Amino acid sequence: MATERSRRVPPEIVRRNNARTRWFHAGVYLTVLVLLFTGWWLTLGEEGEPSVLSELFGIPDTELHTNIGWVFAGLAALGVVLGWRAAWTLVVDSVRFRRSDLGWFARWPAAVFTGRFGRHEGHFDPGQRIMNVILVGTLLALIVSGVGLVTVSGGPEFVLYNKIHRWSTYLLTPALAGHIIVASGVLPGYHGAWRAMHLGGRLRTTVARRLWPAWLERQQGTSEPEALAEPERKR
Amino acid sequence: MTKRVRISVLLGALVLVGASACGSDEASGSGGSGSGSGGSGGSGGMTVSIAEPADGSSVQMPFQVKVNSSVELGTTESGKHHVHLYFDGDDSKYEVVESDTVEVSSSSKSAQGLSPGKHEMNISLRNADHSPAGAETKIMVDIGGTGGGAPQPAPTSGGYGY
Repeated sequence: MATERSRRVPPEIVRRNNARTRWFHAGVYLTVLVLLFTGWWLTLGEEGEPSVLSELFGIPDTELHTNIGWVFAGLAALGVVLGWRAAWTLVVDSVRFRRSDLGWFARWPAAVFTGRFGRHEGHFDPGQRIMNVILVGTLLALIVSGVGLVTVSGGPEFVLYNKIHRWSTYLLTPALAGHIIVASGVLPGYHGAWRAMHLGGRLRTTVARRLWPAWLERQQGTSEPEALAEPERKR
Repeated sequence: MTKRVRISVLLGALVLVGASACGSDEASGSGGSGSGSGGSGGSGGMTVSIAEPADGSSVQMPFQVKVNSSVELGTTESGKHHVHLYFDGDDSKYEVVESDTVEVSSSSKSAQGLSPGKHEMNISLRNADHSPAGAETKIMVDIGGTGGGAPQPAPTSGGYGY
């Protein structure tokens, strides 16, 4: 009986991110993926040979990269202007590290496979915070250098912007690959994490407890998990 | 402001940003253009021309193209200008010319699938960021089949049969 009843009861869920955050995240990763694809296509010497995306949009890869770059820059600017509170929260939470985080790092290699992470008190886990700093930093450098590249078109300043743009890409690419692997939930320890940013942003409390225990406790301290329609912070 | 209106404003702003980017590209590409190996001047008085092969000449794959530019050509990393070379006005497939000569062969990006016969050969001077620098030109060439062997420079003046 008890088993049948527990089957009928929906699992406790909690919403990690609101709709505005999820749409912003989707816009960012769609534009960034197009930019990475076209950017690497050109970097690997394929300029002049239309890529799949170039043929799809009907413009050269260089033009596509530039235009999508402007869209991404506009998206980032809008995100900061309209979601300044969330942006500030992201920055503050990402640069705050505690001594207790060391324990989390010590257990992380094994926890990736077992799911038995050390406790942390942050909105983001310590690894996520490092990733946030790298991703936001490199994306910011790419926006600034990208705008610089199209503004000066050539000359000594172009050479400098080009170096910044390239090296930011070299740093961003493996970091983003790591972020995708972790966030996709293919690693046992991060199973279910992808729901935090997709399909309503709702995830099981068991997943939230495993990844962000203190955040979940703060959520549960105010209301029942089922009623948590809005996250603790507007992000 | 309702949620729907807010989303509309966001989307509108994004479209405006994208449109302004496209508009600036077109504006920068509105420089001079012309035909013939004499080349053409564009914004800032920059000129580019095709020294070899001559307009109307016949060439055999592979062949060398010699470009005369009023500005120094180089790689993107150097911040210098470069030239896009393409055929029949199709600038989606092109060669990147970073010095005054380039060899065009049947395996070149711009010449893949190019049938033997008369074709328009276009060149466009580009800024380091690939935007048009405002100078471009075109000539007619009669392209033969793949000849194999070493590159065969085309004559510097006048057309001839092969």
